[in-house]
Amino acid sequence: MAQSRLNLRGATTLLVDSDAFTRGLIANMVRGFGMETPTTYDTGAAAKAHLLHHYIDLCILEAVLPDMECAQLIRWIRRQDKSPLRFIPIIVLTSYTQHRHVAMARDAGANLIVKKPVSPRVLYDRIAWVAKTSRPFIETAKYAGPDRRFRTLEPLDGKHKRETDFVDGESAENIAEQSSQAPLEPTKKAIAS
Amino acid sequence: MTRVAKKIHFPTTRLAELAARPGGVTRTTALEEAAKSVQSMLDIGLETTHHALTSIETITYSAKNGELQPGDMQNILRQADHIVTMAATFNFAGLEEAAKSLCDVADGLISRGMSDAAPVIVHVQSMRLMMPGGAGLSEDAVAHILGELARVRQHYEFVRLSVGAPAETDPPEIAE
Repeated sequence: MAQSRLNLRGATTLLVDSDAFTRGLIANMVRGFGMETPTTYDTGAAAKAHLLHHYIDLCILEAVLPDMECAQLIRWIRRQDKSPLRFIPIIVLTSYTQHRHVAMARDAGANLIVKKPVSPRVLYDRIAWVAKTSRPFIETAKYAGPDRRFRTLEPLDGKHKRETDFVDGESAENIAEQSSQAPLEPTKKAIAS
Repeated sequence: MTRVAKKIHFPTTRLAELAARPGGVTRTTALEEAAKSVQSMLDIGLETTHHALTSIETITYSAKNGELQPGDMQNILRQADHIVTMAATFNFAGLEEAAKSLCDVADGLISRGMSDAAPVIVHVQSMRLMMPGGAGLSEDAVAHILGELARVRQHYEFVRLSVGAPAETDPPEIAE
């Protein structure tokens, strides 16, 4: 079967990481995917200044920056009132010592979190996923960012579809009976009241 | 009961619009191009690793009376973290494990407010031996050294940084 194609030509990336080697590595990878050479910074403040005056299509951030946690920068992006800036896909990179920051980055509104070292395969699949998958953007008093619930859209494998598949004979009958009665319960109550 | 204000947007990003255009390259082609670029960085990676290890050695061997200066441990942790990333990128498994162990030790020492140089020195010496183009150790020798480093961690009862925390959020697999 022919592979599907992804046209990332012209896509701009902002890459913020304190490590020059990682910046070079990721920049080489995204160029290999056909994207533009990323704009790179090593601090959150420099990234903020860039974002105020330039549009970008993808943001790749290190979990802990020298001057701030990436969560702080993500929250700032997600709370921007104007421009499509707040909706941009954000991928966070965590190094070995930064794993504990995963929950913080996710709760701040990151789209995906990826463990370093990042291989081309992992990065490409994540970029393809954020590009192809439409997720609602949730805005509440405490959270602004993509819907954090992942839905598995794969069809069921055909096994264990029935509740009775999980239990043994006798109790299975009871459960089946209860299940068949369940939809009627609200109706009965409504009539009674 | 108070109602929480919630807005739900359904934005279409420019990245999605660009990706949906006709043309472009297949996943295989994109990965081949990217892999070539990564491999071309091997020399830079080795040089950077050597530089990071040298800076850890400089800090470590400047310890006075077996104690490191405040702030030194943070520098060691940062440099060791970079070595983990680079070693893992180019599949230097022994060096990666030793550098991870140093991260565990440095993080443990920081969290307990300790500044012992000894456990750091033994890690630094091990990492030097495992550097590409270094002592050329056999697999058994590497395993033996890593075992000894594990004993150092056990002595201090340090918890590994990789334990307990999820490393990343995984999206569902993308169909080809």
